Amino acid sequence: MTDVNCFTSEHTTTTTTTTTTAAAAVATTPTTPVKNEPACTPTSPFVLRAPPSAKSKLILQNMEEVLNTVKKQHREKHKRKREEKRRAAMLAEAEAEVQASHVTAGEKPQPLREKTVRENGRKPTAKEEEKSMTPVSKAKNVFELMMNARKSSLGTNAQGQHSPEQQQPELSATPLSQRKQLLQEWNERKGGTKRRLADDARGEYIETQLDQRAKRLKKMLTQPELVKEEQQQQQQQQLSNSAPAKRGRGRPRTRRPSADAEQVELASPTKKRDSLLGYFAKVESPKIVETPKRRGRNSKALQATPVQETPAETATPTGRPRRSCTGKARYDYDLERSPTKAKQPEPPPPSADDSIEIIELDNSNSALTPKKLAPLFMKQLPKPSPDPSVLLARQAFLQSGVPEKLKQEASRQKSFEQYYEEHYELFPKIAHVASGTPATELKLKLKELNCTLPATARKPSLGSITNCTQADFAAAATKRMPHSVPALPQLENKRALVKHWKTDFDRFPTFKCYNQMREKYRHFSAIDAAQESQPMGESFVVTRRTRRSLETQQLSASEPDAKPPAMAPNGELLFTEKYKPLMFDQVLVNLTPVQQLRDFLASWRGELPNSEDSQLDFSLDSSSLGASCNTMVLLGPCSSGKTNAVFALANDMNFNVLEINAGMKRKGKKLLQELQEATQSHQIRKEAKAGAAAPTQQLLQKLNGQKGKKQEEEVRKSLILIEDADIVFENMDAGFTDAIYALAASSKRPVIIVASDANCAHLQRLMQQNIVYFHAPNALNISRFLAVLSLMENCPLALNDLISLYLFNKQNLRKTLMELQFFVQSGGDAAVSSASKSPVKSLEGIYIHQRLFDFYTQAQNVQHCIPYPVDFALLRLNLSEILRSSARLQPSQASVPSKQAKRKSRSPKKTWLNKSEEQQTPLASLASFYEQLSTATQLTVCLAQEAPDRLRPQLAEQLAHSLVECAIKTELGAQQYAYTLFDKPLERHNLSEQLVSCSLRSSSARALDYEPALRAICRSEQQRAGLERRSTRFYHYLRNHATGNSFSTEHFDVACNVLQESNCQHAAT
Amino acid sequence: MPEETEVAIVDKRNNLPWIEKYRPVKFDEIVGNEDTVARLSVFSTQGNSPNIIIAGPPGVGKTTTIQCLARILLGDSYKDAVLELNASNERGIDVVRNKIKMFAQQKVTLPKGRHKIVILDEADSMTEGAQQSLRRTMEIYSNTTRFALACNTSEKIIEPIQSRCAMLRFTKLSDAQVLAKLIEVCQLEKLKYDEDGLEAIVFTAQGDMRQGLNNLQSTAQGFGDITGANVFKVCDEPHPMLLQDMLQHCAANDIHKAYKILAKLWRLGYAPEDIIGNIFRVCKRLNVDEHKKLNFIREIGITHMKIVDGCNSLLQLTSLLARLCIIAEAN
Repeated sequence: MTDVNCFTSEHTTTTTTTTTTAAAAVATTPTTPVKNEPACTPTSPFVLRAPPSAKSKLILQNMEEVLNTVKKQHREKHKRKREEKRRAAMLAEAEAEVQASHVTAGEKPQPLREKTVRENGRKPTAKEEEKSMTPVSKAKNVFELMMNARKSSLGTNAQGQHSPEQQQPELSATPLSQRKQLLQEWNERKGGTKRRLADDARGEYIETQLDQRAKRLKKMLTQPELVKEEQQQQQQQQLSNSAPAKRGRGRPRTRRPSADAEQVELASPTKKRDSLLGYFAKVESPKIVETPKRRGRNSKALQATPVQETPAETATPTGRPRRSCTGKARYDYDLERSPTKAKQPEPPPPSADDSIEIIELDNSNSALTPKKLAPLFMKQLPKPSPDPSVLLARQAFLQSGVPEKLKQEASRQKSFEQYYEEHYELFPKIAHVASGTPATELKLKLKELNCTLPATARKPSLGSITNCTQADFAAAATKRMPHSVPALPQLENKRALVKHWKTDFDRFPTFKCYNQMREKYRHFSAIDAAQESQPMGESFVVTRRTRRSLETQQLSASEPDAKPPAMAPNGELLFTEKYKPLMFDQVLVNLTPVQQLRDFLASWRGELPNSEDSQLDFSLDSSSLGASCNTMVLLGPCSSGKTNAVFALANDMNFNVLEINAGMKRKGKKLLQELQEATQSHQIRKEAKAGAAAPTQQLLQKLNGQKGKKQEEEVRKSLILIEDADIVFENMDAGFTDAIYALAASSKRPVIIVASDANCAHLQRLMQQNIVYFHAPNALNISRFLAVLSLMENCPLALNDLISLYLFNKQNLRKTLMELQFFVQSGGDAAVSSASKSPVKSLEGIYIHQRLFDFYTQAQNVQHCIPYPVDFALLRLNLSEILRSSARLQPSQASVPSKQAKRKSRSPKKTWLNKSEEQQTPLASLASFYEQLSTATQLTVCLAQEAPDRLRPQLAEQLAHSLVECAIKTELGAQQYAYTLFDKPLERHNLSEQLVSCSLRSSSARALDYEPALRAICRSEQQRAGLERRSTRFYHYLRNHATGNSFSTEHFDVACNVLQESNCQHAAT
Repeated sequence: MPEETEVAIVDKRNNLPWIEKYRPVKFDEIVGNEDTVARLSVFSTQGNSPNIIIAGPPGVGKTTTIQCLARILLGDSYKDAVLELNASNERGIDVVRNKIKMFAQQKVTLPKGRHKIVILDEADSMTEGAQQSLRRTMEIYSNTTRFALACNTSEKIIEPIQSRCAMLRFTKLSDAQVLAKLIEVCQLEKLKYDEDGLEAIVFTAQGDMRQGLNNLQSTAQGFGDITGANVFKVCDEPHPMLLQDMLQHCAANDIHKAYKILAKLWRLGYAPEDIIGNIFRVCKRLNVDEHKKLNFIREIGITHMKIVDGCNSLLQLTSLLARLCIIAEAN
């Protein structure tokens, strides 16, 4: 067959020019020439040859496509005729065809004969159709021809349906080739020669045309760009030739029985024309066209597996479109399940009528004309033993060509399905539990149990169940008046107050602090005012700047501060931003760690660390610091000024800060990529500054200008700041830790790592090198700082309030600043119209605001004596104050301490005794007071453990709170007492609480033996963690016993933290 | 035409739950926590509000306050300058790193002293990771964006976030505050009410305005009039008057009568948790000697503990009555 040769030769030429990846293309090209490829390499049908180029593939596909559709069309048209003629004509035709195919196949190596038979069965039809398309006038003759071809093709189509079985022997290589030979012989016997003769007659007619076409295709493929347009023209001219190409894309669709309606539509000539045009557009970008197709194929092949299992679907000739060598691997993989399909009779699909008919035709064909072939296959089908292991092995072999990814996907899906089937029953076995006999009720023999509600009829007096009073009802009628808050007046004599404070605050740089703040305050309010008054604020600031710099140097406070604008009297910045230190000189507290950090950075700037500044013990290692390593770990609690110190020093020493924080994507690779440049080069030029700098930047520039430093000339070096390094999100920040270590190892710039967790496992190695401890600033110092600050903001506050608030916030400066801002900028005391306390005029006639602490600690709706959720640690602190104010204990005040000591030996019984003896003794009341407290503690503790419900803890809290309050009121008779002592509560974490408690009977054993042992283990683990990579050797044992899901190494770390605090302090000093 | 639209609006409003219908839009409509609310109203006019966390029990107006602040502060540009995320939105690390950060970076022209606001409602339901990744973002963009968080328990907000915010604690509303609002709503809805009924609603609300308004609406739509009996029909709780009687019997050392009431309640099918809760709340307002009341409360607490432990039988409640009687006898 010349056409076949044409295709193959053409194909071989294209192999050199192909661009697509070999495997994928081979897997997807369903073209006939590819099928013929084994002709070149007969021994192995699987040899993957380089695929044809996209275009040739496409065209070939299209050709096939058209053939198929035309076949179908005819099938429908001449169904009846066929049925009439079938018996007479089919036999002869089939024989002739088989003969012809045999002859052609004879030219080829033996094992492939079978295939060529099918090829031939199809090829002639292709030619036929082309013929029939081109000379439309020759309808009669061509029809005759076509009918013949049709019948032959039908015969082969019948094969095609069962072709899976046919292909199987091929795939299982050599032993099966014998069988094929057998088939060939049978074919001959059936009259293959006759058919061949008939075919030859037809074939000659077409040959010339096909030759032409093959040439054209070849040309097209070898120089696709050039020919593209030509081809289009040609196609338009020779509609006959191009017609086959037109519906290539639709081919898989038309094969499906469900799309039969579509087929009919497509078969009409007008539609063809339309689709032809559509094809032209697509040809221009063949690659784009191809990729989706490939994907579609792949997915289809995968999806086909479950589909084939259902018998209804087996009727569909799913196998047919994949009758290609390339698709074979996948196809046969599908086939492996087909024995089941073949065994079962094929029930017609209920949906599409057309498909039913076609299938019936095919079946009848297989039963009649190619009867001699098809039943053979049918018989042979069961023969391949359905031994599951063999099948599996074969499947595995066949699937070896399938990409790994697809395989994984398939297996995953399968496992998921299995899991689903196992775990979710479609029909649960137990639909419902039969309700048993109702619980037998214990009937207590009381006289009249079901008495009527006595109370519901009775009208409750007002206020018996709630706090509501008659007055409230009356008050509800009157509307509340919204009160306006006046802005805080500008204070005139701030300086006087500062002077006064100066004498009080020893060892605190009051004036320095005051001047700095005044500078900042003026600067920012000036900016605000300037932008308010005129849009060109820049110039205004510049003019003022010179004046103010003079003024500040003279320390003349004569000029009034700039008034804040009316629109935004609060300015625009947070206090934390506004008053943060911008330079090293402005750092007022926490000086030591900042100095350490400065020395570290100074070594990087090439400056000599000024040794007179550094501490004695620090100067030892400061010399070795910079040179030896490039990382520094800043460790300290939240808001102790770690980050600000870095930025202030960076400003001071002209560093460019590259910041990495937890708010960024911190994948290790990305991190390294971004910082690569910075770490590998010594200098980075900063980009030209934006015109409008932030107000803080302006201030900084101003300050620098004052100093007379010419830092602009220097090259800004960069500094890498890694924030929140102790926080790593396992799934988001893959490789973050490694990236840090890589940075530390390779960076040529200083790397500063900020962390708050001293026991962070993955930073242990870094922490061994350079570490600077930060601490929360001293309450006394910071309160002075805050006092000056609040004075600057025109709202002087009492020192005690500030100290209390600072301690109440657990020494968190930033939070205190925030709350201070909230209080100050909302008008201080004035915001509340009903300021209960009388305004106290302090020194120099300045009103000292007093309600700061009350505002943040006292409940506003309901007045409590004690803050609502009772904090027993705080209660213990304040207890002495309460006891002192107690009225009951007053007469024997001297003996109070001794009683306190006695409280441990109390027992409930004793209390009762005491109480019954004499109610009034101080001892008895104290004892009962403590009893109430202990009950309250128990309540909260037991609830803290359980906490299954949201409401129950609330009730417990309420109970405990009211218990404590009542106890204080009634047992002690205390009326006025201060509850203002706040301390950083000692966080005690009991490791044993986390573990399964049933192993320990008594709590004393737990506290005395178990807990210390666990802590020792944790501590040793901690120490080892720094040395070895795997840090959780013993933790595993403990974790197995843990109850909660959230139990992690953090708990262990906390456990060894108990003595850590003091260690840190020792290390720092 | 305008009349029709007005009617339509009214109709629409009628279909709303009262809790939405009467949600305050101005600061002076917000009930309770006057001090904090007044200060926030100052910020709403003067701008530059710091980051805030409002913590408090449900139904005290946390979300309402924040929304008021944002609406008044930003006015027309509310839509552009406010990013509101609550527990129903996804708020993982990704969202914080992308969505919130993008919002913080984007430029919105606002008047001086005004900032964009990110409202994180129910912030205690955010994962710790999400909160961690928020911490530096809050600081870096503080010049343009402020955060307002609302949560039930401040303990679930991690320390670094708390440290960047001013913590404002809202507490339960007092009974008088709830009552005032209820009367206002009743008058607006033209309901027939009596003091008894309103007090019953206040009792069931327990300082939760949302609960109170819902109960009020349920009663009004179910029975029309707001009377004590109707309210307790809707909000099925152990009747406080019964419990009050029971405690009075105990205080009078009459266990038989007290037990009769308890058995009655038990038969009605109330859960012991409900009974003990209401006993406590009635006991707080019981008109007995202070010392006795204190001991009563302690015993109630102990019984509550046992019930939470799982011993929620009638026996435990009966033993409570017995112990209360002992206390009464001892005095």
